[in-house]
Amino acid sequence: MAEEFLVVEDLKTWFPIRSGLLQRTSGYVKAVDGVDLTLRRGETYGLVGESGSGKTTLGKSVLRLIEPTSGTVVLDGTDVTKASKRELKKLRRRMQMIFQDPYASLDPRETVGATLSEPMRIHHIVSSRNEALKQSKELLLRVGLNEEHLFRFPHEFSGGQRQRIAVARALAVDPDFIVLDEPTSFLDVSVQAQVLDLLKTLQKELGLTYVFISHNLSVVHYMSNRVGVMYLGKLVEDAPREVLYKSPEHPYTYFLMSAIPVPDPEFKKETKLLTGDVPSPVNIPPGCRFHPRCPYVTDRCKTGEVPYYVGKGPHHNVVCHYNIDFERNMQTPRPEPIVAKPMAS
Amino acid sequence: MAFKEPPILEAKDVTVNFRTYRGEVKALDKVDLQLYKREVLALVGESGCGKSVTALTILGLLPQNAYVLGGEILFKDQDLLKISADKMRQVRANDIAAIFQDPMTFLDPVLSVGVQLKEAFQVQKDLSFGSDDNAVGAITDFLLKRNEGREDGRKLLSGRERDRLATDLSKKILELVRIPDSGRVLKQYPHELSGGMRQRCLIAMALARRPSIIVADEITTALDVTVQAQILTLLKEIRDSIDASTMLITHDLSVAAETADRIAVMYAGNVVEVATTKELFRNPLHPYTQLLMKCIPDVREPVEHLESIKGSVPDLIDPPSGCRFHPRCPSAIAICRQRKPVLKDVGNGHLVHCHLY
Repeated sequence: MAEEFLVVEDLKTWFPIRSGLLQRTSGYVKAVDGVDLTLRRGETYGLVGESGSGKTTLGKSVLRLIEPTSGTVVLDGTDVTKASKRELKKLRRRMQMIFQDPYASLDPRETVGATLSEPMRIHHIVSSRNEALKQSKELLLRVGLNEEHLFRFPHEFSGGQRQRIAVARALAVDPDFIVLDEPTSFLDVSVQAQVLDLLKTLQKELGLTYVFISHNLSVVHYMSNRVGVMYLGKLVEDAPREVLYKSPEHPYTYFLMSAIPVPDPEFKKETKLLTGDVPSPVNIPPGCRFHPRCPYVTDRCKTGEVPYYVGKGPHHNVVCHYNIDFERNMQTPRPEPIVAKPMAS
Repeated sequence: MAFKEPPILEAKDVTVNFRTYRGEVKALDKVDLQLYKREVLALVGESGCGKSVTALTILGLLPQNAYVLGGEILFKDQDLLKISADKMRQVRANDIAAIFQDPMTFLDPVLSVGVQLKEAFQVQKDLSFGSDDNAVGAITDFLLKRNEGREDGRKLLSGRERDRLATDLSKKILELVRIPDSGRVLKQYPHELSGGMRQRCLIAMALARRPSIIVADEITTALDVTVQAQILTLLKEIRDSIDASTMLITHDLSVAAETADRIAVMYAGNVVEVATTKELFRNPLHPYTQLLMKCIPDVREPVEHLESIKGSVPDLIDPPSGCRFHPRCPSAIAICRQRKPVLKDVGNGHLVHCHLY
């Protein structure tokens, strides 16, 4: 088993809700509420879930772009959560983020060249302006643009090109870990694949490690080695890609998969519908978070945290008390051995 | 599926330009479309292909800087592009309803759902539902057949009676879109509802006047997949229970595959291919359709390499000559650059705009 590159343990990010005259904390939005995950170097961890499930907050908390409330994040042996300000700045060179909306994440008043040189200047990677421009040119070529784009402004580019610029900016500090937050959800399908392929090629060439966040299960499948499904701030299932897509064991994963529209009108699928919406992360249901929407719910699900159970596949963790046969609608309790922490992939 | 009946709505050669400070955007270029009774027609394409502009043109809701250069939209023996703004309002009130992408923008945040829904029933002053106190009877009456205004021999209702009836009707219609506890929802404000519930409320408002056409513009784009599945199922149920045609506008071919009877694929202001859903997926003819289908990842049979279409969508201020797809088309030939392809009917209602056929 190769060394673990990223280890996240029991990470929690709670946002206080302040109300009243004294702005006292009256509750918390538990955006991320105890997430464990591990990732090896050069691999991609795909995070899926619906809006409000805490994917983006998790991504930002791992990088400490949002201060996590508790828990640890260890990146290649360095504890990110305990790093001082100065240490964190050093770490920033190694970990970067690419955001969803390339129309908002690029400064409209700066040329592409300036946008790319800024991180190099801040981290003292280059000693002169010329050197910065030279390196920016190389970056542009690397992401499939060319050097004449250096002196243009973001508004002159299409969405796909802008996302390439955002990728180049993340690469400017030569990182080895990148969190990609829905990098293609603003792009058209005909362009989406171009950007995904670019990301895959860069990963191979530069040995990058990714956390890939998306609500699109098919895109996540295309990109990831291991996939985790989030629901209301917690991972409900986490497994190697093939295992998760072929034999999901958590009912939420199962319903999520069957809700995806299939591009084939002749495919007769049984549309199984979940009822209701995702509850608010302010009032998280007790017990299993999914129980109010789960058709397999029993009294046992309604109280107490559900531990990680070992799933059928290799390195497969499921947060569900039951072994459910979705075809035959049968459920049996899982055997006892409970893993306190998820097993590494 | 053969369509013997004439279409209830037909767009012919519709051309729309937008004036912008950069120049004229040629947003729609001779768009031809037919919408038949009780069908779901999906308009599919990428952003900027003109699918929403087509919807807005049909609804007469184009922005100030847009103007129609030519063509006609025939509905009930009239050309929607020629009738007065007042008449168009009547059409929108009674015949063609619209549902848009973001339910929060289209619901009034300071009015309760009930007030907004009741308004839909009360737009027309002389709309009467008959004198009998049996509201349920009136509702079924109302839901079963189109209410053509006042019926003879029945006295007009007083304001209060009408309000009560509108409330009952609103409850009924919320039940129709599967909103549980409709009495409570009527008193709630849009911000208290989830995205899926808001979208259901908008659908209910659209259905309130029993339209013969529903234009649904990206109605599930802002929703999560599990909720999207609920709304799409609802749309199919409505099609089956009410005699309405739906024009479903979406960028997602998979959504179209699951919901539509026929699909029209649009690219850069042109309709490039129209066929029944099965036919289109079995036998896509236009190179753009073929490529688009390869671009969408399928969860059932994931691939190691995803296709993409080289280049990006053209700027419609200066669209490519001839076929607008030719700069990105792998099978482009000389004539594609020079002449716009004419419509070819390859049988079974499968239409394609391409020089290859």
